Amino acid sequence: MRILLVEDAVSLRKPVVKALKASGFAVDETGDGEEGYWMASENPYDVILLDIMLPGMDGHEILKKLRAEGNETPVLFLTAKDTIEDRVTGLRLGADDYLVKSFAIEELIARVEALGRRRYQKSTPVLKVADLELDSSAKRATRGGTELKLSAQLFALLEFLMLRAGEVVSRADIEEHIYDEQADPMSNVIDTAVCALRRAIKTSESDAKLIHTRRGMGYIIQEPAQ
Amino acid sequence: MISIRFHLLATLLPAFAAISIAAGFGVYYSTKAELGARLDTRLANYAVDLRFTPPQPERDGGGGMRNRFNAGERDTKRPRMSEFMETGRSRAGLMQLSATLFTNLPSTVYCEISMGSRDTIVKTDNLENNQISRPPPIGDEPVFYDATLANGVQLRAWASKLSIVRDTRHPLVILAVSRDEIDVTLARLASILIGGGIACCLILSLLLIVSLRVSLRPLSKLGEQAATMDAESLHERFSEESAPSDIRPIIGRLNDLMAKLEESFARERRFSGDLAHELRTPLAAIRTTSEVALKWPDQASAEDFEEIHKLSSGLQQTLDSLLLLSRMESSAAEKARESVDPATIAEECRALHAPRAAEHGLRIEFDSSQAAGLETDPRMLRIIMANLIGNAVEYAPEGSVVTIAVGGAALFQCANDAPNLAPDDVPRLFERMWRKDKARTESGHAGLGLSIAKACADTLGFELVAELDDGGRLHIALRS
Repeated sequence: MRILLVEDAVSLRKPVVKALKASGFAVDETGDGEEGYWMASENPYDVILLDIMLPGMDGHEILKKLRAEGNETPVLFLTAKDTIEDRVTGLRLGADDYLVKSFAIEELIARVEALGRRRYQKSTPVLKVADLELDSSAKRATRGGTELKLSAQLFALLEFLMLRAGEVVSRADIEEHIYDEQADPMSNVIDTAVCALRRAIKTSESDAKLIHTRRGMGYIIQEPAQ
Repeated sequence: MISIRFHLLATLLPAFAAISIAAGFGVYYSTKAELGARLDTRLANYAVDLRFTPPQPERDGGGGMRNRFNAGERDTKRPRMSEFMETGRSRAGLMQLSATLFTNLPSTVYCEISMGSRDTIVKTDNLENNQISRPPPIGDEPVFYDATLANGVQLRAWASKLSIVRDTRHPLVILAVSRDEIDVTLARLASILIGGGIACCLILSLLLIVSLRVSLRPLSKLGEQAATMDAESLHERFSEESAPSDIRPIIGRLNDLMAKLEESFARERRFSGDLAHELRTPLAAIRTTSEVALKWPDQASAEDFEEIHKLSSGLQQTLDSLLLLSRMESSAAEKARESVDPATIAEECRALHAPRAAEHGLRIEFDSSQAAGLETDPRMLRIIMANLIGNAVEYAPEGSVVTIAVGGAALFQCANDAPNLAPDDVPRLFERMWRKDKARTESGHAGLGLSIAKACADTLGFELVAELDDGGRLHIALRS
């Protein structure tokens, strides 16, 4: 999942980005309101984390503009303002969640995951395709009961494919949601990653092939036809 | 606590009671005097009747009355008192005399004719064995006096010398009527006055209580409304519309007070919100940095610890500033009095901020040619100067000029370009944690410097004035 973090306090932004990346999210960051708004409207983020007091354009303003443009990306306000009025204002403007500083990083990650799932209309953190199971909150994937060893990046890729199980996911989609701006994915990076993922989820020779290539269109994860 | 109601009742009721008592006494004594005067007139009339007794004893009282009115014309045809006196020498003659003499008198009138101090010679039958008490010594004029009978009956009496009779024994005529009738009348009057007075007082108190309650209702309503007010309802105002004109000024003042309170509460709320923001952001950063380092130790670096160190120092600085400010504001600050050279202190403060100024490419113009020594607290003066210069250096645009002047028009003056500042911002400059750009969380300044300078200036009895000139230059001056 790709996340945008708009927070002007560098000292807070840095560890949050580190934590999100370590949890397998692709993260773009900025400390400026206007730049944040521009990034949010240009890229298909899964979740946007917004501070309220920002130089350039404040968080409320960014949210208002995004919603006015029909951008429905889930937004989580991250702020030091904790009065009921502040929360209500944010939620009324169309924010999906609200987290007051200081927060436990675990809570922030859990909320970001919940918001990300909501985007794909999934209410439980456990995704399932055939005997492949993925718990996005526990960051655990199993195949027929055997735990899979996946890097954060492969886990994110698997999660993204499973969130859209049964749909063809284009390379561009994967690129946008799994890799942040800093990463400069070469044209074959996705193919290599998918190849690695296929290997990783194959625990035994008898395992059925779950990830299929649709030539010219992308990849799909689905239960093998009986 | 004395209530208005109690005060009014305690004043009005006794006053009304005193007036009622005085009026009652007035009515009583004037009635008494009037009744007494009437009684005396009656007695005087009987005296006239006595003087002109009808010639024939068998004539009725009514005729006597008529004759009395015509007395002047037929005076000579009447028997005179002297005749009676002359005939009344024998006992039989006396009886006859009294029968004739008193025919014209009503039965309630007592009459006695005596010779000087000696025994009564004639008296009305109703006196029986009693005797009317004697008057004080009298001259030629008749007198009225209060008399008693031996059996205790109270009388009003008229006494006159029988001057028409040339008798050396100085015969005396006494006429008397009972006072019972007027005493009863007066007693009834007194009881009516007392009863009426008490009833009036009671009714008046009731009326007063009711009318006071009704007229003081707006006040108690005001009290009730005030009782329901708290910090959350400071936006509410007391209604002046239905209030009586007497308490409208009070309501006006109360509403002014509410407005001031609301404003200062809003300022406090803003301050605590700003404070929360100021403290929470670095706290959150410290917490997140350390949590991330704990959770992903392989990614932790010395940089993280440096960050935590920097943030906690910043927090400490903010807290120290807040403490200093609260000490200054609570006027508990102890101030010394020494002779101080402001130019030296200003120079030290300038030197302190010189590196920062150089970093921003600022030029500092320093003028202490007009500096004069003064008696004040050097520590607080230093805080003021350091904060003013620090503020100027922090917010002046890069490459601009900061002017510092010691002495002259003001004790100390500091000026810098402030292109982003609007005239409306100037009054808020000294507010705690106010910053033009709220989002500047990383600057290391909590927006307390000018508040601290102001609090110190207040403590020292100086004035700190900020002005924005037309060229967008901010001048902050410390004046005595």
